Amino acid sequence: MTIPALSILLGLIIYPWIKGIYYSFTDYQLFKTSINFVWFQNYIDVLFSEKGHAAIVNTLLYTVYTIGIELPLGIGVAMALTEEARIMRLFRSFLIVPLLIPPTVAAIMWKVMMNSTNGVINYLLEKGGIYGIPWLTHPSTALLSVSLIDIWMFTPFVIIVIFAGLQSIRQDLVDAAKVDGASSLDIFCYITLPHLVPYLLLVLLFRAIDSLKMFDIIYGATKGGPINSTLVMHIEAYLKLIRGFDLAHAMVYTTLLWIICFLVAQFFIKGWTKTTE
Amino acid sequence: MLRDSSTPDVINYLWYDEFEQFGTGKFAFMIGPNMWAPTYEAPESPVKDKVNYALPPKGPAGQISSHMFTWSVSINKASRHKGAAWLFVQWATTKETLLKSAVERDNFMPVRKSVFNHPDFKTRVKVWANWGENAKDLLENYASVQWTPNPKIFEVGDTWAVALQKIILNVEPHKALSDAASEITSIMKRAGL
Repeated sequence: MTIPALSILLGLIIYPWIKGIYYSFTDYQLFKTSINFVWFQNYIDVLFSEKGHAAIVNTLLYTVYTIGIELPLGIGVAMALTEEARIMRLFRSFLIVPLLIPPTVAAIMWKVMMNSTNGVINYLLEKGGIYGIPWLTHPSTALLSVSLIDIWMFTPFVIIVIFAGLQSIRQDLVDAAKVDGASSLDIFCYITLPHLVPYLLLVLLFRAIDSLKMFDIIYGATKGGPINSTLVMHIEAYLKLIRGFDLAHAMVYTTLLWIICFLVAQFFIKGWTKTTE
Repeated sequence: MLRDSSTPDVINYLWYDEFEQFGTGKFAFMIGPNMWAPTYEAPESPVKDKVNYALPPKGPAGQISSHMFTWSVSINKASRHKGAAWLFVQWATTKETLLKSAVERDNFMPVRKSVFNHPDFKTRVKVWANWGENAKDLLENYASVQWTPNPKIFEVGDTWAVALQKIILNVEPHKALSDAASEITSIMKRAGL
């Protein structure tokens, strides 16, 4: 019974994964007929190169920026959504819209809006006296700008999960705390937040992995530029293989990315398992 | 010129951004393929009747040079219907198909002189300012296929493009291009080329 599932797992996931890691230790380029084992030379090339550094640092920074803003923003909005006001009920209906848009379409849409001379965002900011933000066109602002696209797209996911967590808090606990004189801050710190920990860890797990391996938003908006300021590991792996035919170096980036994602996932899964025991 | 006279967004531009921005009247001039003329001269185009076409500028040696971008129709070695494929290729490259493709479908890249000299083609391009004379001059005297048949051409091109981005952002040109040259040398060495 398990043989078909095992065959798919082995054939489509395990075998290509192991083969890919093997290629990362070779000099395999798609236009060459010979493959030679080069030990760790490719890893040294990547880890000690300017582009390799940029890709790794940008990947980690992108993850920190996106999660660092999505999480508190998501919690705040989810808490506001628990209000029964009509506008909040209306807002809940439109909340999911960004999640329905394909990431590449969202990237192109925001690229047009963030155009520094013709874009609607700078047009509106100029009305408020703020001029000439370069958004995607300067290395100092490009990474944060693509992070903002991610935040716009995926904060609704955070909101939905946290909202579900908030809905599961027992109201009698909150009422009892209020009767005992607890302030809103006390209720948030001692009831709400501890109750939300498993949901937060779940959200962090999903968003961290997604952000670490982000490709479509960044490629659609900047292709890793300008001057590699938004180059992340997944994009560099793609460029190495598709534009450079260099499978070996491409697999180094994907293997390193897998290691980072695995370690992050292990950390959050352990934490989540502890909180749900 | 790009730094002083173009939009800051040009640093991230690809060919379709340039195509779109010129076609909506945002750019005063651009260097690009002349096959975009049907879009610029379409009745609904914002720049219709406002475009003139010029030869590429002369290089440092005083010569004009232009790359002829091409597409190819090919038959895969593994094809099980090579006969049918060959018939298709012949049909796709006939004078009649190329003429119809250009005149009726705006697919403006015919490869036959007979199409360029056909009265229907000439009538179509007659209203496009000097496009006709310019294209003829380019094809007869200056254009050639200059595509470098090297598997590393894209990676080398990307490295060079990053150097241009640095120059636009005021990095000293000699340094930016020297760094690019070192990286390109290392790319080619690693590829064994």
